[in-house]
Amino acid sequence: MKGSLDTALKAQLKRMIVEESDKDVAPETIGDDDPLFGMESGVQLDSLDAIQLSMAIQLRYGIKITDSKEARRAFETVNRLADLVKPE
Amino acid sequence: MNSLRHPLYIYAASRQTWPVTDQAPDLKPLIAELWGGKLRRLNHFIHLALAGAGHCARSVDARIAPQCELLFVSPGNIAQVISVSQRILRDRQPPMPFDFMNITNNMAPFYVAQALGLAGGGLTLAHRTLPFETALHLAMFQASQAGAAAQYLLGAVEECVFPLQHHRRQLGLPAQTPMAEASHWLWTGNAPANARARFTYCAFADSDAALAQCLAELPPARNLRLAFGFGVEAQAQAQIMQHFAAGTLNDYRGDTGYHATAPAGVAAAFSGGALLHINRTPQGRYALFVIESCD
Amino acid sequence: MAAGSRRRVYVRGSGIRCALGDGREQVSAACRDGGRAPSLRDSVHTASAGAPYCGFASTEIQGAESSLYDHLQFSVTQALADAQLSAAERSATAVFCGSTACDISDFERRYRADLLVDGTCLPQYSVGFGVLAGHVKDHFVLGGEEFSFNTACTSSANALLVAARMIAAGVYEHAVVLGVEIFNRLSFEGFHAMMLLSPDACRPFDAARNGTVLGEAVGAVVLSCRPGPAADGGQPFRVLGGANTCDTGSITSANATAIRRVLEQALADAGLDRRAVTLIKAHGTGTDNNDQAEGAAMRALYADAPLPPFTSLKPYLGHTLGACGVVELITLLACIRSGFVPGVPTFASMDADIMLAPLREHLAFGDGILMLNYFGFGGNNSSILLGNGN
Repeated sequence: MKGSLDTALKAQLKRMIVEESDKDVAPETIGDDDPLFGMESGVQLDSLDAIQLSMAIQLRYGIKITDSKEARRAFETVNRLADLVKPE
Repeated sequence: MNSLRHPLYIYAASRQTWPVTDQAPDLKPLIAELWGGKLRRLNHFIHLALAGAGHCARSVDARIAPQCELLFVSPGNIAQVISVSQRILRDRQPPMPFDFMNITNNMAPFYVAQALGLAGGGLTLAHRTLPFETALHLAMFQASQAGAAAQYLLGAVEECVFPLQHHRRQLGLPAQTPMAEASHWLWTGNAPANARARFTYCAFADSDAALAQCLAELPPARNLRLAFGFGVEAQAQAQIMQHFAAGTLNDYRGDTGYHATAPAGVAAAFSGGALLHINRTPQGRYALFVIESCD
Repeated sequence: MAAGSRRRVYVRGSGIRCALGDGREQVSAACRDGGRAPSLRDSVHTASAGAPYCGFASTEIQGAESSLYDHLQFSVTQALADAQLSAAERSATAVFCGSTACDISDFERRYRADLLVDGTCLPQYSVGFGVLAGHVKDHFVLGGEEFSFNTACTSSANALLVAARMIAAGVYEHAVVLGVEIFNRLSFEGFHAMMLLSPDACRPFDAARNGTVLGEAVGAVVLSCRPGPAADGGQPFRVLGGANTCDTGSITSANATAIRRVLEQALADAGLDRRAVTLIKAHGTGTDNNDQAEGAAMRALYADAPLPPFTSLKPYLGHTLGACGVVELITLLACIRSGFVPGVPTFASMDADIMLAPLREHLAFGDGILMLNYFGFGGNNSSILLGNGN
């Protein structure tokens, strides 16, 4: 089952995003398709958060993210991230 | 022997120590109260710095000037170096980016400068045994080269590593030595206006003879009190006290717990009259500074 | 204090051990030949193939478990001999040290050995970043005070600035200024985790640049209020001035406006117009952000005047972090002493966002005014002006 259809995985990723970025945002308030970066995002992650999250994803799910541009794309939304972690 | 006499005026000061036994104090609530909730991705060492700088800045109404230079000294962000090194060398795990990013000692002054809106110079210093006196010497020198509006924010921060017994051994301290974490801050500058006190003398002396020469050179001060750094044992204190018939001992060391930046706390807690602080290195070199009130 | 009323500050001697070799002659010869290829080092991070690193050139060091203090004594001994400081002069010599990792390389070696004996042991460590300056002061019997600076990549640049300012004001006659950075897992794995390391090469200002390459080096410079006795090979260089500022815009990324401001302050401190600069030694780390911000700052400073030729030494030395202030000054002056400024061998094509090109070939060079720039984590930016005219 694709990651973006796996609610348990998405909840786990939302907890990771909040914990790793040290934001005081409730994980469940992050929408699956909400943008995670930029001013209009409810979480407003920045490029450093993307690097921290890349390491967390690599260590937990073994997904290799090599550079900061790739990291930025991977964390556009929770759905995109979930599909990266679990493609099918 | 190297002595500076440029007057450095003190506008605000804050002395904070946290006696510790088995763990570091949680400063997140204090930071949130001082600086508002949005500061994130910080470590304990940076919390210590922000707690002290916030306390100092809020102790007066005046605002620190944006071009104020920040001179920050500390024995280092040791606890984080140790924990990240254990993760890499023992656990064979890569460091987490935020843990590594916060590891260099100048991150703490970066966050203080950001929080206070400073954009002047920023030097992060270290010294084996005389951290504060070295920072004061540099501040006095920079001030002597600068204009009347020059300002210098001096910060001295020290964290402990746990377990404390192991940390004591690394510092070469007896097993029962009471220990403290500390964050001492002084906002200083060249302009005399609304200063409560001023540093008037900062010197280093290489030997007992050179120290005697410094003491002889000191201008007489009304109701002079003396304070000694941890490096000056009781017997040496008594000998030095003989030079000052009227001087009374201000033995601050008893109530603070060991930390190498304690002289910064003595300076920050100065309340009036005149104070001569003398410290000594294991190599037998002395560092002195004098504070006088401005009333 | 006006630049005019300050005493002159001469670069009187130097000693160095780095990826290009030991001592000035080996360093300038290696630069002339285009430098040496860095060797690949593994990473604890299994998902990565490791990264290139510019380790010490001399082979007997690579194998030996030599301590950082051996390298320190080698470079300081060489610098004091080069400067020909008498015993009397040493009593008026202070010590200034800039380093990012200080003695962490020795700390790691000991901890690794201890872990072999007991996998749960606590690491032994020295406390305080002042141990290197203290060691040099005691070992070489230098009479002045010891100052250590830890401001990431500007550490030894700031050490140079403060030392020069104190000599100019007469607080000290001479200073030994150290730049120390030895390979250590903490920095290597840390930069790797921050995605700042290139998988193959350091390409400053190049369109295809993909990160920096770290390097190790120990350098020592003697600054003095008097030139050395045998100032052969042309006029000795002097420190004309410089500046340091702390930009709090971002923790890790450089900012063009803040960089331009520190360059302007450095020129003002040295009493120089920007047109007087005949060469810029850029920070040029080869990371996407630094080179873009530094390029924009140089373009803005020289918007209506010709930009002097500029180069980066990081393809030759690697990024030696806290040591680069001293080590890159020594390397640049060593090359100028043998008549050239090194070009950037790995630069291939101009980046559309930067629109500038560093020197690609070596440039014949003897006299002039040099601007040396350094920018670090935590927004610490420094610029130093050197010159050898009168």
